[in-house]
Amino acid sequence: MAESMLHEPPDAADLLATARAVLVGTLLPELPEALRFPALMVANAMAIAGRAAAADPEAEAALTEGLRALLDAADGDAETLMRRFARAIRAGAYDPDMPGRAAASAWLVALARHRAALSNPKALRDAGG
Amino acid sequence: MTEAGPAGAIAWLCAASGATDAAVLRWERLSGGAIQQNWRLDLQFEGGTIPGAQSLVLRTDAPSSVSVSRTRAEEFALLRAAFAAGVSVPEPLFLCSDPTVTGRPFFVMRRAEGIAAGHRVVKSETLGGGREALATALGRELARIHTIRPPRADLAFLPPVTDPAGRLIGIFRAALDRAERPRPVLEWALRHLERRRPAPGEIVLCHNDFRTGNYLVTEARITAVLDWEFASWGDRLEDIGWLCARCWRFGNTAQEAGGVGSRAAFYAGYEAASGWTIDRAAVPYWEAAATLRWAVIAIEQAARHVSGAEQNLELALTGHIVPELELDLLAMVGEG
Repeated sequence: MAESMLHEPPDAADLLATARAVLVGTLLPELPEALRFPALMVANAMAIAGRAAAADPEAEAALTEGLRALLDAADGDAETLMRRFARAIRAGAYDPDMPGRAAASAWLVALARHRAALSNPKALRDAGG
Repeated sequence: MTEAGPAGAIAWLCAASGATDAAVLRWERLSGGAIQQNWRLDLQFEGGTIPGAQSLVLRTDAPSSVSVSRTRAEEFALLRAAFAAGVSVPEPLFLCSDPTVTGRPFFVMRRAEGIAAGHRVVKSETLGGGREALATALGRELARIHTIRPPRADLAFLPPVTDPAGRLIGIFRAALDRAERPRPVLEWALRHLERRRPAPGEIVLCHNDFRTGNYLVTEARITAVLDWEFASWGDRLEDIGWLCARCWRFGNTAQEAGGVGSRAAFYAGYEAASGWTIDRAAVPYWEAAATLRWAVIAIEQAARHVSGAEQNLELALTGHIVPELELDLLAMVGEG
């Protein structure tokens, strides 16, 4: 993410990663067994938040543009486009043998991969790439 | 109850069992259960129907529960039906529906040994007699559950179901309509399930959360199938798909039956005990349905946190399981 000139560095992603390293490397080994699970949950939350803070806005803009093209929509923000797409899927507009099906399916895969890269990148590796 | 101690429950248990007295050997809260609480209660009964030392579990609602699942009385009836059908469940002993005894209804069952934690169970090569024996035993347990068929006067609280796939599709559609955000990947999966909706099969009792993590297992065997609160009438393939779906293998994806053993061993256990042949080609539909079901549950759990109704880190992180489920769903239904 582009650094804000208005904020004091290090940025959110850096702080989260650095703090998480202390949690996992220094604190976790000293914790009793009963506190390991909550500590691992905290570490996971910090990792997700750190990836979200570092997410590339251009990649997200490209996904939105891809959906706009798919829907042949002149305007509308990401939420409006997503709602329209969701309604169209439910109505059967992308059923087998419909012309837009392959493009729609490819866009959904790109969306799911982008979301998994933030929430759980291990799922991408398990899925074979 | 129950923070105050078990005195009220013990007096009630003595009356229910005909004992003259019962001494407390052990009383402690067991882990797990956000909606229900489980308490270990070891008692030494003087006389009555269960004299001597007894290791029991008392199950009751959590103080703050806004329960959408079965009541304790209904869960007790389900446990009795399962116990009678030969399912490995803790023997249900006494139900107290009177909320004035401890503040909330409760029931008491025998305590079963074993571990449940999914991430531990899938790592073990030896639990339940080893991976293939455990997968076979899971098939056998599930087949016994599915011998329970409607109509049943004791289970009259379960709403009738004639079209299990249609019922699930309705649940998914309503959940997606309630959700804060548009969910195009889940809509894609829902559309697939609608288009390929199978004709209704025979209706049986479905456990609806039959998976690793929800049974107790020792080195020797499965000792208890737990968490009956989502049970309903349905299609047996709902439970088979839920156990086998990739999302319930706790990362041990090569072991397709619940992360513990092979699909072949699980199917063999089921078929030997039920005399029913699993239609292999029909199972993927129900695995997709299972994955979508887990996704809408995860969304609703995260929404409890996001809305402020119940701020909780575990609920918050459950929401972040959804993208992986979306990848699973697209891999399952993308082409068809």
